[in-house]
Amino acid sequence: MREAALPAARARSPRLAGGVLVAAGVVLVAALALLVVYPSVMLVVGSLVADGRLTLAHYWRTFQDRAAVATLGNSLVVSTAATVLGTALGTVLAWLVTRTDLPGRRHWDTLLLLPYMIPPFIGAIAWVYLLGPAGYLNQLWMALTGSPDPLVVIYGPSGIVFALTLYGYPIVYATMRGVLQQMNPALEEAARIAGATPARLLRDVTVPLMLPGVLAGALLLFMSSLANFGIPAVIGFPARYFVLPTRIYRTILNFDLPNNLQIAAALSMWLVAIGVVLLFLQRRVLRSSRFVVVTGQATAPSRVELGRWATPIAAALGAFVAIGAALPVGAMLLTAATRAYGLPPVLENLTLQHFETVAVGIPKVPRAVANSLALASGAATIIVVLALGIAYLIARLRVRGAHLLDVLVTIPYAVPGTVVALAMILAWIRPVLGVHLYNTIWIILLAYVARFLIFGVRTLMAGLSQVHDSLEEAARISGASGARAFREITLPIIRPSIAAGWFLVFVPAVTELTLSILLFSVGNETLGVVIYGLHEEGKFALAAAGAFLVTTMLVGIHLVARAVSLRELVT
Amino acid sequence: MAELVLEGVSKAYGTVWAVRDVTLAVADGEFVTLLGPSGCGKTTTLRMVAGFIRPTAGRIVLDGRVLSAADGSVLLPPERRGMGMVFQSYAVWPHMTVFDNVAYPLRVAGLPRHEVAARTRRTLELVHLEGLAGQHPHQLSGGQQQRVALARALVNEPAVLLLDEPLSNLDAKLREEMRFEIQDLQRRLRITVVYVTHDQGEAMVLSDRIAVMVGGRIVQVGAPDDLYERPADPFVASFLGVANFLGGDVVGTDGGAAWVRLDGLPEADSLRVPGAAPAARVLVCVRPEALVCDPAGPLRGQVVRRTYLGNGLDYLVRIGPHTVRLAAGPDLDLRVGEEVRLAVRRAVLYPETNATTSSGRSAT
Repeated sequence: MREAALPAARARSPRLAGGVLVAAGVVLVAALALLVVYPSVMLVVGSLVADGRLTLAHYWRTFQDRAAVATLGNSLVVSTAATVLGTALGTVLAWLVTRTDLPGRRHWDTLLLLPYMIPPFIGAIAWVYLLGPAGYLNQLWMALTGSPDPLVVIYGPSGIVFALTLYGYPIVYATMRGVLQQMNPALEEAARIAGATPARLLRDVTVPLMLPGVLAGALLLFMSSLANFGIPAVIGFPARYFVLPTRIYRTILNFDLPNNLQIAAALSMWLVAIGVVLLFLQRRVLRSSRFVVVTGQATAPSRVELGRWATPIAAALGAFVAIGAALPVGAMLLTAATRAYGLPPVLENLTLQHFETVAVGIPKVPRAVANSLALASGAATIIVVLALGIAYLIARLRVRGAHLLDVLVTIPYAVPGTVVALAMILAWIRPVLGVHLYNTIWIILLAYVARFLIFGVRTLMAGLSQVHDSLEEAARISGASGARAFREITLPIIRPSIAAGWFLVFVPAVTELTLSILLFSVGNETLGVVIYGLHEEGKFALAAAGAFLVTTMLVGIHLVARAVSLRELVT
Repeated sequence: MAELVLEGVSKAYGTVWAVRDVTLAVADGEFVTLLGPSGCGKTTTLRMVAGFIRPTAGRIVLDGRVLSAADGSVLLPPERRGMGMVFQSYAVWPHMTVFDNVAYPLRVAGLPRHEVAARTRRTLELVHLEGLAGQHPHQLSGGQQQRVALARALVNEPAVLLLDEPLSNLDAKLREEMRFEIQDLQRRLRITVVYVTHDQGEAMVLSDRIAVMVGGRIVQVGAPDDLYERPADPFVASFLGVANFLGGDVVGTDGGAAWVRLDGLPEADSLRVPGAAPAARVLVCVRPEALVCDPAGPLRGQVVRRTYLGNGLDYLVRIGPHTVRLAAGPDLDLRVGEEVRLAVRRAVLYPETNATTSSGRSAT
């Protein structure tokens, strides 16, 4: 009997007491069913049902709608253009920072990630202040040249591509920086010693080795551009230029249209289909093991000497950082501090009135601040707890079928936020088992948790995978129970990952717009909703004051996060 | 012809000297190893030879042609030095086949296609990889990747071959096999080699001469037997193999030998060590295999540990306050606790300093 029982026990390698494990598993599965499975099913069902019958009528309708098909084309064009530009930009910048002797590399690294701290819709709003019909840059142009026409008006597809590129390139930059840093420098040195000049080395070795990373980064950027709502909303609506997320948004709010939610669901399925294809492609790229780069002992990479190009390149980077971060933030501040938008920025036109109005004059603003802080910290906390369980099941216990959990967690992030919000609406528009969530703050919380869960799971899986099984096993053999070994060994070691996961959720959640704009109700506004609303109402100065304050707050949060994570690493 | 000369080569990072005043001449066809513990500057020295690092001081000269000069007047880039190099991590390009990896230096040199193919094939045969030309690196074992790296470094018949800890990522058996293979290739191709390792066994087997480096400096250069039998100082002695250090006083000299009374032992048991006494207080360095069981030997001791090694035995013997290791053949069978008398066949004397007493005594 004992002999027979042994192999089975080994295969399972149970580390937590069975009962606790089962209970935790049930809770996690139930949570994911509630967060992901149920809304997904309701979205699909919604797109397929009319008057209580199964039908393809909604799909048929969207295919026949010229405007809708044009929107799909717009989405693809704008996203492709932004992806090409952003990938080129991000890759070149990452190469400059990691592989050349560019002066002040470490500072550039921080500066180049600055645009990522500005939420895209706020960045877009700031660029309206600069390149709107009465924007500062256009005013400057007209004053300097005497031209009666503005230089360029940002509204429309080019402006969308511009903003998507500017606020999206950090995705590729961060990916490529990692790829380049992990690439064994000996691979390049071997080519030099084999007789290749630096240019030839770049062509024969560096670029081919970077290619999988570039493709992976480009796919991420494409998906994020395709899903973006804030930028095409701010820059596209005034030119009546729609992409899929903004069209879906308009359709959801078009209460005069019969079956508007169902038609929106059918439109959403287009985005879902594109997302599925891209995810599949991404897996293929990442799995091609031919590109596994054997990393060796960390030697400092040999850097390409820029020589006389160093100064011009540094100057170009400086200008770029100014365009991406300094100029928009400056425009926000100026707009907020000017009595009325459009007045020239001279001393007698300056005022602090708008900051005061935003802070205390509009009751929904402080309410939104409180809501956003509560929602973001609540979502971050719930996510960290759920993610810890999911990551432990997948990475540690290797429970069969646990990978399904990983797929479930990926769905709400792979799918655009607009679609997640629609799925939540379809799931909760009627009370379920007597529970009312629609038009309450709880549906926003639910959506945030579903949407950002992947940040927590990925971070904690990475953290857990660095804690070798033997560390916990050493505690077990020393007499600690499974739960105790987890609490006293694993948990303290992965504390930095927990903190990082929390912040990774908190920061985007606190300025979230895409989900909130579709799910909020009076009294439950979020920061993003309020700022966007002020901008839409044409209260530019107030919106600018809010946007400036939010941006300042985000920079503060990043600084705190950095300080905390540093301290976590030290202790 | 390839004679490589390093003249007072130094490298500083800020105020830290990674390599200090290294002077070394490697003759044509010679195999020279830079041996030392990690952080001693051996890899930095090799990378200066390769041209990846600019020296802070000194010159590197190949056949009378200056490759690197510290004044900045010359720094020939790596691709124009005509050298081959094997990296510790192999650095086999994952996106190219075995054939393409090995052919690369020839293609860069612009050789005609048929010659590239012929020479690549010949070199692959040299390292016994002829059957794997179409494979990608991820399909190869560590040992095979190592051979690809070696073939790539040899394919364009470089004047100098540089090897940076090439065997440290291989398992013990493969390491030994590759050792002999590298030696065999070097002799057949009569190529000038600079080899970097921290493994003294590897250095002994492979090298014509070994340069031992500590703290950025070369402390001794010599043939392996020279270094083993006549180490310049106790550090070199203990870094190359095992050494027993016994403190004592010089009590007399006779005909080019010194009589040393070991600490805590009677003067009657003094050791006679050939050579001049360097100081009144000395450290006697004795290799474990230079100690032999001899009923007439001057040292009386007791076996405290016996370790069976298969091809021999390793004994720990207490002699008064001293403890020494004794390497014996399989036929010398002693019991723990047994009394033995030992004679010293070969020994070297060093003046005892504070540094040698603290670092040199840990022979066990």
